[in-house]
Amino acid sequence: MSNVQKIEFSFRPLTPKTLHRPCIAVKFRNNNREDKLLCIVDSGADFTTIPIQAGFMLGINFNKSLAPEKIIEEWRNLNQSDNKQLNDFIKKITEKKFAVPINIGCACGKGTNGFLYSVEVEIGNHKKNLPIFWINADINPLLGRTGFFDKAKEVVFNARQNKGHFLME
Amino acid sequence: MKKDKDLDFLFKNDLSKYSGKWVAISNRKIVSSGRNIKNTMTQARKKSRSKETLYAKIPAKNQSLIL
Repeated sequence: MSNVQKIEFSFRPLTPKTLHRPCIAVKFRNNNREDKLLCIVDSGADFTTIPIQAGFMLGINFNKSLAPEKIIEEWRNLNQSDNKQLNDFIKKITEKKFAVPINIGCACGKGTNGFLYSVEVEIGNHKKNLPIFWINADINPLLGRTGFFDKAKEVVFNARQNKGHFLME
Repeated sequence: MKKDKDLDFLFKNDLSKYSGKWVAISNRKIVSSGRNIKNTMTQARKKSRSKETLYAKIPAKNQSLIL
């Protein structure tokens, strides 16, 4: 029997006269707290990106979880094009529950600060720990590539039919 | 995949009056809304104990996103 799960999403205008955007509901869990946010499925986002205020509401204390300086230095020196290096780093901060301060560039050219910190997510019936960029800005939540798209067997965006899916193993 | 009734509500209703705001939807009703996610979540938690509350940011009018 196949263990492949199909997670579907649809392109929707959230109000009349706005563009169709690929949207999916994602549950974020930290300890006993959980919240479900509508995310834009964003193949251009390096990381799943969520407003930091939502992280506070999940009970995450980023300062208390701050990674030691040597881990922060490791992030600065990481060769992010090396999947093994990146995956090993993510695995380490996920297991140790470290928050790593990072700055991420937006398509508009501005950089924004926040923390990289992993929590459990549930999308459809699929659960996993996912590194999240908790951004210091009130943005639309984004489901990005690292830890999700890159673990999918197949990702399909069918804009003509306003739908898409992930095949997850 | 299980159908999400609050997601269905979000997609099927005209939420233009919430343009640019966050909304919290629980059991097919908007239980709170606000300019930032923290206030919206705080109000929603007071009104609903459901862990299934869905939070969404409604796009501002005529706003395109470059992500």
